[in-house]
Amino acid sequence: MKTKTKVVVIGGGVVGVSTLYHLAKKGWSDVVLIERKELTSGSTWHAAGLLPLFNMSYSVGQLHKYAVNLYKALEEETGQNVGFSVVSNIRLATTQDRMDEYRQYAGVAQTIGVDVKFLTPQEVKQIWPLCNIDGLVGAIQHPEDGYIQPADLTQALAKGARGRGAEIYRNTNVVGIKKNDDETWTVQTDKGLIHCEHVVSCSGNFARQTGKMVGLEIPVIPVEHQYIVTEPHPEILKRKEQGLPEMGVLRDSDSSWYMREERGGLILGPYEKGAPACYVDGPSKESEFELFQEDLERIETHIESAIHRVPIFGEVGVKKVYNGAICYTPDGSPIVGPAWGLKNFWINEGHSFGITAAGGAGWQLGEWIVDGEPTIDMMGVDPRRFGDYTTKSFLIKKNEEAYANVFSIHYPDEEREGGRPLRQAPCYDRLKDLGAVFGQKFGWERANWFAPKGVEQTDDWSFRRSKWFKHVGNECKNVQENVGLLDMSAFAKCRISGPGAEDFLDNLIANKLPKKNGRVNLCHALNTKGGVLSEYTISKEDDESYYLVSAGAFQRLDHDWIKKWIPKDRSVTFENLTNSIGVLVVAGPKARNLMEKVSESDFSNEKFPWLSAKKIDVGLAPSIAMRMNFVGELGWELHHPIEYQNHIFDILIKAGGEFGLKPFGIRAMDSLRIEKTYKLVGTEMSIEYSPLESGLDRFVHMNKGNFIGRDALVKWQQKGFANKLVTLEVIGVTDADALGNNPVYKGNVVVGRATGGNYGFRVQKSLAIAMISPEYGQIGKELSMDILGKMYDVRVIKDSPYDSNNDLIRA
Amino acid sequence: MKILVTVKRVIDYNVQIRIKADGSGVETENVKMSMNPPDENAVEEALRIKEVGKADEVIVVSIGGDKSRETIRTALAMGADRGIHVKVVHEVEPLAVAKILEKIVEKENPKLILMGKQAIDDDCNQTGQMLSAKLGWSQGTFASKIELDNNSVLITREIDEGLEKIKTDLPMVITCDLRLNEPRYASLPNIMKAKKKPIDNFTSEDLGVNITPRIKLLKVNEPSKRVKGIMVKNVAELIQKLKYEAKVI
Amino acid sequence: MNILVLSEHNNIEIKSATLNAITAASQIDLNIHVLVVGSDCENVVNKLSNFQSIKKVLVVDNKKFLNPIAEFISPIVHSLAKDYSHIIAPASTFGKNIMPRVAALLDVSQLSDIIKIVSDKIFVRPIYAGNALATIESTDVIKIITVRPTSFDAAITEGGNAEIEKLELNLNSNSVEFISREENKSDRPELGSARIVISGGRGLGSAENFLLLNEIADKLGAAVGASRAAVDAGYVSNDSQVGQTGKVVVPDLYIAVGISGAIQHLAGMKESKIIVAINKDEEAPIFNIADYGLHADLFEALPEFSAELNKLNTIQK
Repeated sequence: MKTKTKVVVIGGGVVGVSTLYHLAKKGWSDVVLIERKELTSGSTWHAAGLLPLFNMSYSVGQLHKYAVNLYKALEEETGQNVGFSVVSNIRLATTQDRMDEYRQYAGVAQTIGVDVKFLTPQEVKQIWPLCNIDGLVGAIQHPEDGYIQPADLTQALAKGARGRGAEIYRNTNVVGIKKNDDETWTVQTDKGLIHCEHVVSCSGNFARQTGKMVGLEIPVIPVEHQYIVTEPHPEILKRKEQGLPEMGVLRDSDSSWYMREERGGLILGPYEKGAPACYVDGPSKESEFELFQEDLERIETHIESAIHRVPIFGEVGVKKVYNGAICYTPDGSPIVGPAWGLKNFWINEGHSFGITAAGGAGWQLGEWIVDGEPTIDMMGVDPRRFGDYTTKSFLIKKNEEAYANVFSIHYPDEEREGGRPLRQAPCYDRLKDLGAVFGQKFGWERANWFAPKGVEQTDDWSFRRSKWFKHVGNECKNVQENVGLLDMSAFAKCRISGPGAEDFLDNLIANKLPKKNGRVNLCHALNTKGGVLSEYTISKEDDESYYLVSAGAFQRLDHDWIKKWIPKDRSVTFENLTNSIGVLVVAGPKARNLMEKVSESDFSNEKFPWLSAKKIDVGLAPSIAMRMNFVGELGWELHHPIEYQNHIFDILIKAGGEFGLKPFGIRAMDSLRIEKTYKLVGTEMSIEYSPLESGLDRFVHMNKGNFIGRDALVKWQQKGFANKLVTLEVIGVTDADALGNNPVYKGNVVVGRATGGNYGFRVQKSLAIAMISPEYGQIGKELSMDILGKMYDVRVIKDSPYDSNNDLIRA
Repeated sequence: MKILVTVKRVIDYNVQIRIKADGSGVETENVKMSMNPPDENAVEEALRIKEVGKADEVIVVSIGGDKSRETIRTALAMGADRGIHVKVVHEVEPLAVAKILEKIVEKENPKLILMGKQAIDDDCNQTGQMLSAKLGWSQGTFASKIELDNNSVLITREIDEGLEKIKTDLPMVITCDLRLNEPRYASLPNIMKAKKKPIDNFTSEDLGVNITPRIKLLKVNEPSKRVKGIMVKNVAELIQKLKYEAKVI
Repeated sequence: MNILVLSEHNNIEIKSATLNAITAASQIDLNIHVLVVGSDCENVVNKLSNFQSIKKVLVVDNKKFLNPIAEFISPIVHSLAKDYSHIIAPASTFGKNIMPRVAALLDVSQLSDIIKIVSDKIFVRPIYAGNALATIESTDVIKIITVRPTSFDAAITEGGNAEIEKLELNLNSNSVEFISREENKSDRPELGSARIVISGGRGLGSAENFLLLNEIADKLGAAVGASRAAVDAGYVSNDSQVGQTGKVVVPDLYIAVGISGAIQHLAGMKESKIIVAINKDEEAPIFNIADYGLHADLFEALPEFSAELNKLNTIQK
């Protein structure tokens, strides 16, 4: 065993071995993997081996696509058969909402180049003759996917890794991980020490135990998943004898199960409510190839549904029931990327579709480690998308919920109940009394919309306009005509201070810092390859103190990025203020009237211009008022010490009555911001797009001096940009606005994709923001776009269709 | 005629067992359990005998804690007609099992008793023989083939030297080997239906059997571990090592 | 204390497992009697009476006992039991078949397949296919015991002069008829006591291929064993099976060819002094317990092995 290496990968399941393989493929041959028992002996060995290309997310979908292509090529590369049966995958639909989900997905698929077909029930019957098509309204088929043999796949990846110089040590236990002063690591095993530059945690069911070794609370706890394997059935054997193709993986999404052929019989895998979390404190020390006691009662309805859908399933004997652990995270997506707070410690854990995800995750993590950055926007799987609210008991609840929802319809506005309400701003109860229908982001309860008196305070999820559309419209109109109140306490906030603060921030962002105290700039942190990682509003408090605000969902991500770049010489101090400062936004033409009523300060345009910040009192409470907002109206964000929130809230509500002050929620905010072509990280801005493609030219100063990502950006610009951000008007929409990920066409050719969309209540148009090929980006250009399977004409219009001169925000 | 089949719930044969830290036994909490494999053969054989019309009822018995009922249900799902659960609160030795079964036999009056030849947990291979002796019946142990002809049975047994055939009359106890047959898999509808089949419940007290163990378990430990070996590159090296290093050839 | 050993024999020869049972008995007490039930079995009786450790040989000689039938033998042992503190037999299929009947007739528990004697009441036996060892204490007045032959040395066959006592006993009512026995005769040593064993698994692929092992076995003077999978597949007969439900062997050298190393097989051979594994799957569990592992295709390795043995030409028997 080596005592010194570049990377130690901990864990020999398919995920760890794929990581090792990809590192070696990128030319890092001095890498090792440590496995406590035998490869695959955790969860990989008992996986059903399915390879779903299907994933609603643009980025995770790309990871799956990569994997499927990689696995196809692996046999040729390594000489090891991986048992890839490309039998196709069919997802059934029995409701129109499910079909909407599939249509929305089809748009995503188009934009990433994944082949998916819509099938009629009759066509399903042709491919799956043994399927009862009662009650089906349609289906989609992925011709390219199927299933694979997990152990063989892992062995092939291992072979590919070893062949390039990587080493694998089995029957070796990691007992500790020590951070050295020079930011290298020493991995302590029961066979000796290994000194290395990078550590990658791929320990599956042991994720939390590995995390504990370095002080990390990794948000992974596995859940029990069962699948039933039957003996052969004569009908299937007959098909084989006749040389007919295997029928493909069948997913009855609405009944929450998958089924596929297995050696002449069938496998049924349900995702039921009530599957318990397992290995809550980790598996035992001796655990290896472990299975749990089966519980068929728990999946009885799924069995009955499967027998109804595929009658022969009820005719054959059950050969074996596998009940094994699958790793889960609170949202059901894996965590792949850098650990927070630790340099060169990487996480590749929480895989509930590990066989598929391993390929893509290993690929991108390999790039991240070797090249410094991934090429795909990994936001959807970044380990830092959860905060420290993921306690063990939270994880048990949430991960069980994630499991139970694997097949639930993934509405764009879905808000899951488990573990809620958790983090609440002080004004939560007040908002609730005002009719708030809440969702959560990063654990924070946030009002999505407000149900007026007489309207049920429950949500209504859909891919189309639903019950809440009208009410959100009213919220928007009220903001436009009067003044609205929005709680944005969930914003991530921090202070950067010290003698080195200015230089540090100047290097961090592409924009220039505000020069004067009390000025605010919109700034972006790029990654080292020039893509956009974070967006901040930065206000200068004084020469050695700056206040940064960014989206609440990215608190851990943004702050981790900052902290990792902070110089060691203590010239810069980071202070997290997220939990100590609340934010209330007042926006609308009467905002000034309202502020003048509740505060003595001067809110005139001369004394309090756009993008400036001032200390004010609201009632008896101190607050910083920042003149900016995300909805394109006259308005202020009130950043206040959080203990004063209710005092401020009550005063605003009381004073606001005469101005028509009403609360508004996140859904209204999203409609309002689309009308201003305001961009969000994760959609219009991402590491896949340079800031110049995202229309952030005003905020990028290439000549100000060096900043992170600058050189890469210059090279990128020289190479040429592939995208341009545009605003589109969508013609003829009656019931469904663009949600994002909609493919944009010129004729039959996909020329771009929507990043977001909404109905603009103030401009009374259905809008979308899209990234398209620059040649189609001129104003007036006529294109078309798919929304839920229907093509609409769209026209490129000027950005910020509402108040494009920005007169209102600067009033 | 009635056939009585015994089934035992044991740690699944695929599981790597763990010994409790205090050496008091083998860990069974949170461990996958299944029907003792040779018992599956016994159930299967009983069902086949019934299917050719030579028996009219297959009763399955299990002795153990509450979870033994799940094992009985498995046998019912395969096709057994009804079950009997004798609940005991601690481990029972083969002698106690034989005595309990003796009482069940008195109640049910089966002509044939089929059992697995040994349980893969204690590996005793005693119960069938003990029961047979208590009942004064004949026995056919390690059976790999059973041919029933009216009241007479021809049994092929697997012994150390090969195969032995013996013939005797019912009633008798037969212990089954894994090669006796290929146990069937229960279909899901049968598994669901099995929940409705009756299971009678008794305790050892109900039956008047003293199950106090005669054997005390003093401790359980792991066998000594082998020292890790090496991989050789080729046959020539292997032979060299065997001759000059290990000196066994 | 008096100990009675039930001897296993074929009326002509004593089965070797009996010798191990006698040694086990001698570790408890030196007052050892041996019971021979058979037909025209003077040869066996005389040989036994020469054993150093045997004080008395009890004989029941009758045509009825030509073949060992449990229903016939157990009442005989039962009738003699009151004079003994321990009754011991080898844990062969013979012993396993008969002794539990004896125990039940005496209403005592049985201690099966013991591998170590700690005292006259305390013993060690394997459970869970030998993955755990249980130390147990019997509280019964008479201890009925079967002994794992491979855990005890063979008794010395000379230096004794035991009293021989003929008994006329004819007890039993069960009508059991012995029909036939199919034994696999071979010149090779007996699997249970061979010094070298070469075993094949499912990897051999056919009964014909198993003959490849025979060739090597002959050169080594070894017995041929098999995994359950190979027996189930019909490549070889059941008496070759090594494992939890087959034979337990402890040769000086065990060569596992094309055997993956499932727990159940390991139960039958993991105490072998030297274990060699030849398998084309380098992740096969058998390599975890092998002293020497060869990752190779057995169809290439076996002929090579045979050729190398020819070169060596000196085999210690």
